[in-house]
Amino acid sequence: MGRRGSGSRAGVGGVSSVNVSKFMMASPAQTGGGATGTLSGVEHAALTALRPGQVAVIREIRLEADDAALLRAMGLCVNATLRVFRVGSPCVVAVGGVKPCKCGGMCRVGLARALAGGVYVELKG
Amino acid sequence: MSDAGTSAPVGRPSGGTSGSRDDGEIRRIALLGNPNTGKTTLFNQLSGLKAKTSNFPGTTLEARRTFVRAGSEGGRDGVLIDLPGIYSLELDQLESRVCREVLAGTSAPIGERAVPPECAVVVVDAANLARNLMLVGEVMRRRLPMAVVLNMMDVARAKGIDIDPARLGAALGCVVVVTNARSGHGVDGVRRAIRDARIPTPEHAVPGSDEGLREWADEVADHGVAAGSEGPHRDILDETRSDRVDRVLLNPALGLLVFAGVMTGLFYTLFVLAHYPMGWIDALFNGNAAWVGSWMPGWLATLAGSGLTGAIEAAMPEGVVRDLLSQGVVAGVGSTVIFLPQICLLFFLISLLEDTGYLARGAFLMDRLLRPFGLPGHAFVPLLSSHACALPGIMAARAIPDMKERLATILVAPFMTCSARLPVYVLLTTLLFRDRPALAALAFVGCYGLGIFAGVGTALIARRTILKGKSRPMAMELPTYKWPSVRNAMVTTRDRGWTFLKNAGVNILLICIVLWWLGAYPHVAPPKEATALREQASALVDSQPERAEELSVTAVEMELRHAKAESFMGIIGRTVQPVFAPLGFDWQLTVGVMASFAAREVFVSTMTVVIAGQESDDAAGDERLMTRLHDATRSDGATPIFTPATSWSLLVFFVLAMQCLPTLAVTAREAGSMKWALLQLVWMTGVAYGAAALAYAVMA
Repeated sequence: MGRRGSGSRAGVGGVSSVNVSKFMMASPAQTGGGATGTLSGVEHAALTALRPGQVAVIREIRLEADDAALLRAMGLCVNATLRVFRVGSPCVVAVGGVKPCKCGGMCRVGLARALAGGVYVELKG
Repeated sequence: MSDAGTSAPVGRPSGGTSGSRDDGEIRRIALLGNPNTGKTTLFNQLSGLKAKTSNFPGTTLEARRTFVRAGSEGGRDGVLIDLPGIYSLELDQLESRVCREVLAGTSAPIGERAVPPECAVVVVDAANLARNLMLVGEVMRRRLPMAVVLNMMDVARAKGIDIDPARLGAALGCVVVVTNARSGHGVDGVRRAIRDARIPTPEHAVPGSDEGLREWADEVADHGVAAGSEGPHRDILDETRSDRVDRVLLNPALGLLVFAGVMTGLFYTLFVLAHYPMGWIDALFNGNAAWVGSWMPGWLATLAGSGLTGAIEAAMPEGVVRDLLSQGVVAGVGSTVIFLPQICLLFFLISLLEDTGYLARGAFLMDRLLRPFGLPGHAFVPLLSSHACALPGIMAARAIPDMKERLATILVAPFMTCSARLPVYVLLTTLLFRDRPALAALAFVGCYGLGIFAGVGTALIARRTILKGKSRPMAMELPTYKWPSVRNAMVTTRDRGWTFLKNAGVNILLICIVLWWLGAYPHVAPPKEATALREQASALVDSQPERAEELSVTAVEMELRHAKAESFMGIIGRTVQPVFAPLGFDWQLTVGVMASFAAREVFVSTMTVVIAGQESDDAAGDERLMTRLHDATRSDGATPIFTPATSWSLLVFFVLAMQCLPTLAVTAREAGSMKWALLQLVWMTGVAYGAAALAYAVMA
């Protein structure tokens, strides 16, 4: 279900409970049918592992399709920049765009821990 | 699908310039936008407070519509349909589905024709443009004439973000207008934009993929930045004042303390302020002796002292019509309208709080407490409101996005101890613990605890059985804190109050009339003993006037008891008494329980009439009444009616039972089906019966 006819890249059944995940050419079966091998060899932290103030780029969303679709619609999509303001539940992040932009983007999104744990990011800076 | 063309478009003037237009000439305009973009504020500005509210067919989603004049610059009048705030048209959520169907012309609010809108107006937050443009892109994919409203430009400019509507319009290929919905600035421009709406011809075609859509949105947003703009004053990801406030308000300990304080303040205000209009309404219908002034003419003194009920009884000859009007219709209207102050005030205060941005934080805080029971954080306010009255509590459950979670909240809300239970609690705890106020208070607190326990337990069972489904973890935008809009709060209040009166109110009125009839008919001749007492009183009226008065009062009490016992309600009570025997109820208590089916507080007045034959209106009377109730015996003349076991059983029954028909009427409306109301009735009555029988068995 989830996003209608969108061929979502998310759609992973079980979410890993570990905070730091290393995907080595993850197969579709391992990642729920949508992942590609673009993440090989790169370590990505779950959002729950970040500290307040850290800035990161979303690299993968490993959640059920409908949750992933909602996050994407709220701006939390792959390649979007974010900054963590609060960890725990809710995890509060500021969401920027996928490209540098002078148009702002001041939205703050609160995520339950279960959702934040499915958002994998690459730390910036 | 909609019921096509069942009524004229909303708010349309009956005469005037547009009066001759055929319905087919009226444009249908869909108003869309992300949550927190000021869409509703803009709608209120455009509607001039003349919106009509209905539902989308087959849902409990509210649809507001208003008539929009084309204005002096030409074009055609139209009906503006306010669609639910959504982040995407493509989500598998009810709100998104409704928006998709309205844009496709396969659905429309009840009362409107299901045809594709001739124009889609998308409201975007200028301070959060790129994310908002994703929805714009999704609408553009549907090839509808459209216009974009760039709202909250003042907020964006304050942050150093300057968007040029002309440049943005060129990039999107459609009209872009700037508004400040709060102040009303630019609202006329929206009317022009509706007139000039066209199918967009964007510089860059909207990509079909999700990833492409986000990149496209960022690109278009960048195109829209005014020439020479250096961008926001600070990095978009920098900490703001709202973020600093959130450190406190979302803190698990401090945040909860603040939340408790805010909620206490809200409900204290509700109780204090609602008390006055409720008293006025009560006095209007039932009278208030304190309102009678010596200067008043007779008719006004009657109205003030006896209310509308008394005035009708004084003005009309005795008979069925008079009784129906005074005790059925007027009393029924009174018992409906009396809820309005609490409902209106609660929604006014909640609307103000929501507008500040705080309620979103509160929902997150409560989510941790309620989630283990299958309820979302949003359920907290409805459940807390239900401690005042279940009716506004159930109506407040509309804020819960997930339908199953909303239904679970509606089902359990009446378990919370509402103010109507309090007279019953006072009566029974006083009978149980006379002269031991500390124990009475403890029992009182226990009643509240039992209600909450039953509520969350029921929610847990419902979410694992009939409302089984994934509890969706919360993801919510946390809007920047701001001053609330009183105008928006008033519009919400008016809509909620009117919805209550229009839908639930009619049902409540009918129920009240039926219950009045059951309790008042058939009229029976007074008992012989009462007649004999009256004769004695007549004989003594000159020689012993005080004794005569006493005898008359006793005769009246006997007549009232007899009338109640021989009424249809009394007959039903005696017939069904065996059902309540395991709970320790005799026929008199059964009549009290049956009569209070409409409203719990009726139990106290019924008991005083059935057992004591009188109602009291002063403290000394209360004490005498309590003694009489305490000493009252069953038909055998020896067994007390209120034994400790029976009192405990009754108390447990009233904590848990659904003794409130107005609540059922509101549940049926808010849940979208009578079956949920029936389920609520059966479940709550079953739980109450079982728990009361257990209490009786243990205590007896």
